[in-house]
Amino acid sequence: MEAILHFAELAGRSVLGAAIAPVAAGREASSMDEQSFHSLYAATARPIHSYVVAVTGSRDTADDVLQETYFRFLTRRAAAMPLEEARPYLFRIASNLLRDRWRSRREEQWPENFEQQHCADLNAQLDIRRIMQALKPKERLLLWLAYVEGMTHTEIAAATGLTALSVRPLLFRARRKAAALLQPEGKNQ
Amino acid sequence: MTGNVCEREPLVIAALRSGEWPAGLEEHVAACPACAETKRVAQLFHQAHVASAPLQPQPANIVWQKLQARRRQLAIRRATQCMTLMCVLAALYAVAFVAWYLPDLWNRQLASDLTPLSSGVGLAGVLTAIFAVLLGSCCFAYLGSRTDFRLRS
Repeated sequence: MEAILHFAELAGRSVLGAAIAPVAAGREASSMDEQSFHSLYAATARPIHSYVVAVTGSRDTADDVLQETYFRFLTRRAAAMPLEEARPYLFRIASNLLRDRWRSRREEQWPENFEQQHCADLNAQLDIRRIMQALKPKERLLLWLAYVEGMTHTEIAAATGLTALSVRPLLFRARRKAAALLQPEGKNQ
Repeated sequence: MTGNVCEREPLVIAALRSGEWPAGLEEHVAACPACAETKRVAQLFHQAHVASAPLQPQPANIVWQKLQARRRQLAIRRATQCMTLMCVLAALYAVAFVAWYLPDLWNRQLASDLTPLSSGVGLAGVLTAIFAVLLGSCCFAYLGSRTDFRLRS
């Protein structure tokens, strides 16, 4: 019986190997090489990582989302995409992943224990934490894309899956809300 | 400019990002509530950006290796789907064969119908075939479970 199973396993391996080879070869052909990936990563990983950290307040989540973002990018799109197209597409994937996480796990709340050790101004650090916690994830997302990434409404729409027409009022309301939360400190200054 | 939105807000955002303020823009911001509000909120987000700057993403080579490992796993999983299907089909075939043929064989023996298959040699052949099908199904199921285990681990 052992011999039969061993033979069957060997046969299974050869069948498996024959089945995997074309799949893997096809994927390699439609994907990018390591050097191209490094170039793309160097140009896009930092802003996407910052974006996810800012929206979720969690470095671990940001690492997970970033890795999943590039995995989906590599498995769904060919390597020939130019950087100017790849960047918004990566933001779009990351935004979709964040939305999926919020839907499935309700990780909407910005964490209390988020560390911002490198913010020199203590008041600014407190403001950031207070406002990030008060804003909804979608509001944090919109404000970050508009004010840090400098995206236009059309680009934000492309990166988030919203319509361009809906970005404007949503962004305005998010800005109003953030400004109202900043108001007490603003008056003190 | 309206009370809520100003057409020069993009300029304010661009100036904050670059640090270079075109002539007259700061005076405009001081007089425009919408641009002033944009500036205050955008400044806060820039501070958040600066604060998160040391949180670097993982190195590219590590991410690349993880992605390659995941791609291989995905390829293996896709390839083994057909083996799983074969296991299921083999098991279904064995069950259907047993359910269809054994009662028929039993009835023939009861009726003492001396057909070649109901003779001793024929019966032995049929039982051998059933045993072979069952053994093959078990082998496929065993291989499938071991492959799944390797993928999960």
